[in-house]
Amino acid sequence: MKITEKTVDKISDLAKLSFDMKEKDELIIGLNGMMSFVTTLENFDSSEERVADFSFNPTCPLADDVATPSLKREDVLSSAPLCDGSAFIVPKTVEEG
Amino acid sequence: MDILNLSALEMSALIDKKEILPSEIVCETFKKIDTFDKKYNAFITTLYDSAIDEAKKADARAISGKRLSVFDGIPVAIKDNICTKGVKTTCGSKMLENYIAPYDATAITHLKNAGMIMAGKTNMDEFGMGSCSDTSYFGAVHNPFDIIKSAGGSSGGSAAAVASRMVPFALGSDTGGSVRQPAAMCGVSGIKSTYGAVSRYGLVAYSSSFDQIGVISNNIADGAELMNIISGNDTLDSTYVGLKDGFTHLLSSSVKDKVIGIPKEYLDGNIDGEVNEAFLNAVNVMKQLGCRVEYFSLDILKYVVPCYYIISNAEASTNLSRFDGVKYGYRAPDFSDINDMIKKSRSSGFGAEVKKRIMLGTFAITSENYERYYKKAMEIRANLSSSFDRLFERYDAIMCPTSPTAARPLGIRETDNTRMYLSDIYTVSANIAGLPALSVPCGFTDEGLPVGVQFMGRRFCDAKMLSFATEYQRVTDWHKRLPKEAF
Repeated sequence: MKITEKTVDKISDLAKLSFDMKEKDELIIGLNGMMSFVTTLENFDSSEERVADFSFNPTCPLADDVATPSLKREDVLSSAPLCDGSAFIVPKTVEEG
Repeated sequence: MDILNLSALEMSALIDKKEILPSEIVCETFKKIDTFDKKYNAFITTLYDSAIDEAKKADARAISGKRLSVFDGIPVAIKDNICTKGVKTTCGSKMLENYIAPYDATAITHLKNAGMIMAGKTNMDEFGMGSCSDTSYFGAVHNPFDIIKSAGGSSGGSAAAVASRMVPFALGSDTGGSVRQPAAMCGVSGIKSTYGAVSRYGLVAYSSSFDQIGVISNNIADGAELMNIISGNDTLDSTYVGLKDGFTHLLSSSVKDKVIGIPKEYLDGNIDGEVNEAFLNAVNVMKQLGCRVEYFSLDILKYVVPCYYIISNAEASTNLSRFDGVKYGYRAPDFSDINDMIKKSRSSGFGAEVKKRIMLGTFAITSENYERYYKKAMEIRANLSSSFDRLFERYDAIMCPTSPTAARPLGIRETDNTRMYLSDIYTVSANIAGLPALSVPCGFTDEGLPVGVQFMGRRFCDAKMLSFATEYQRVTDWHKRLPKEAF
């Protein structure tokens, strides 16, 4: 499968990334290089494999149902790009009708 | 005597005998960092003030005979994708250039409880994505054995810091070989545990089902002791199960009559001649120690690199979606609306390699490609895992080179990095199957670059795997060879 500019445009929108033309050209070369060895996966006969059974640690330990202290609000907000001291500040997210 | 040439266990013994104080070791550590890190760029952040404060407390405990652990007062470096409360945790990225973690990773909590002293945060490939430690926003790491060569990656800063004896050991993280491969490139020892043996809480996620915090050290005995400390209890990572008997109880066990398997597929035309020679010499050493060596074939190994890159990048594309310029990290200064803000922040905050991997991962999990790539890769993962289970019914350990080549020159930028991805061929299997694996130095090329040999073990049999490496280091001295430039 070949990665084209159209593929890059679609995937970059899903991945919330944007590229200028030069970056896009380099990306197409890089991704096609990756695809050249990734497509070999298609040769694997998987008719007998059951992915649903796969797990390293089938007995996943569960935590006790006990509430523990969370991080302090000011500590969490201290690394935010923009906040008002009690909440993150973001651009308007609901468009006007 | 140069204190920093001692192993961590030797330093500890001298502290016990009151022949040296932790603060003296820490002072020497920072003298060395000041002198040499301009050349190697191993550290992103150094922690002189807090280290001196902690060292004074360790001095008092040592004097009163109340040390908290065998490594109380010993300095350690931390890869910069492991969260450290109140200290920058950048992941080698512009995205997190100014991020100060509000909590400690569980492994860091265990180090602090053991009285260990953080010397600084080490340089790395951005978000762990690379094999040369040259995708870091903070510049490439240079190999202490030859500064025009890569230190390997992604934990290249940790490996370079240990190789130049700035610190006796360091934490790294291993998603596809990122502890073992730089350890091999820098002539030091690197240990990745069984998946689930060490808590991942506080390790910034790249690929959650592969990531493990590991240790890079001067020798396996130091590394195994440090693994005991960081693998302590955790209730915050649901994949953590710990390691019941720890890492060190078999360290002095004989490997006589044990059976080592070697995959034939790993010794084909892709391996460099000098690396192959060093590896075969290491095999001979194991034979002299009484091991029986058998070669086996495992056809599915030809799929491991594509399998690894599909699953790891699919997980990366979802894990890194948290970087949106809202909660933490970089936010673009100019934007028209929230979608534009997120796109511009991510596009400017991430480097080229990270964006490429997010793109491949997103591509692999779209509805039209999921069956063809992601599901197929997961089927290969299941097959590989059960294949290794069967192999370990016959073999006590599997042995192979750590990397097909020695360290590569820095500064070679390729738009198509396929060659770099294929260099992970020997290390990714352990991550795909969740196996413990390690690398120890086994020789040098004619150019003077270190070569590593890898041992892999059965899941949760980390201690047994370590016994092969300790026996190997008991009768060889490759791990004692030092880079001339650093002394």
